[in-house]
Amino acid sequence: MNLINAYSFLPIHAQLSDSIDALFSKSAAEVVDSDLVNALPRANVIEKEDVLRIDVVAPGYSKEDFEITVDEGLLTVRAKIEENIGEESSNWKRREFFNSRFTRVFRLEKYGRGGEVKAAYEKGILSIEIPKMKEKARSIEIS
Amino acid sequence: MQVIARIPNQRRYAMKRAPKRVNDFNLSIPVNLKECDDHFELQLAIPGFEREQIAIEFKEEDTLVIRGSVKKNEETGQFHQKEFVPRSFEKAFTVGDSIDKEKISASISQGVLIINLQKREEAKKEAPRTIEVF
Repeated sequence: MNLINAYSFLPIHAQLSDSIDALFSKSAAEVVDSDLVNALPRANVIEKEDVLRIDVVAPGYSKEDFEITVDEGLLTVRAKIEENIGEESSNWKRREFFNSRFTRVFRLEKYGRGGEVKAAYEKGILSIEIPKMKEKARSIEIS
Repeated sequence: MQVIARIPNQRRYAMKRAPKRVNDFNLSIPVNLKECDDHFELQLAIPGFEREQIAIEFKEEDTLVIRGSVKKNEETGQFHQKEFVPRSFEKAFTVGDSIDKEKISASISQGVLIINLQKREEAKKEAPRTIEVF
């Protein structure tokens, strides 16, 4: 006995369901062919007294998966990981999250010019601490 | 035989089904469920939670309830960007008879809670059978 949903008679339905299937069975990067389309991890940026802290929420990774670079006032967090979405696909009864590659860039503006940037990965959150640049009072001579 | 499913009156249906109060964070806790030969693995992504904040219990024999509690957020400092706030949550799953309720274990690692649900002996996956055709 077949149970047919009334909607399946509409031709658009077949097309749509194919695209939707593709969305769920492949990662976004495969569908659109880019590194940047992956859902970006959420992040908090908190300014403390002497540091600027960036918390990137990325559960389930390991410390080695991350690459953090600071260049010209831009801090880039990259997760380099073999995507595992296709792994034993038949065993998954429900799949609502998986680890994917991502790149997220933060503008540091006045922070991070000099000083040591520290990072720690705990409880699925990558915390990056950037020391604040201390502005020294300057006196400007009038010539 | 083919049966065409009736299209329910969408609006009435939605009204009937709508929960009274939706805790959007509950909806935003993603869950993975993997079936292996002798157990199920339930994974919950709960970044920011520690072991002590998680409580797992059985309710009414077949409902597995997972609770995470967060104390008041005491983060001091000025937020320039705030996309994530850990909140208390409660998630419930119905566990079928195929699970051995005495053999449930859980672990947490880097923000992912993994619950192992051992299957009962009789529910373990058998090798596919071939049926002879006469």
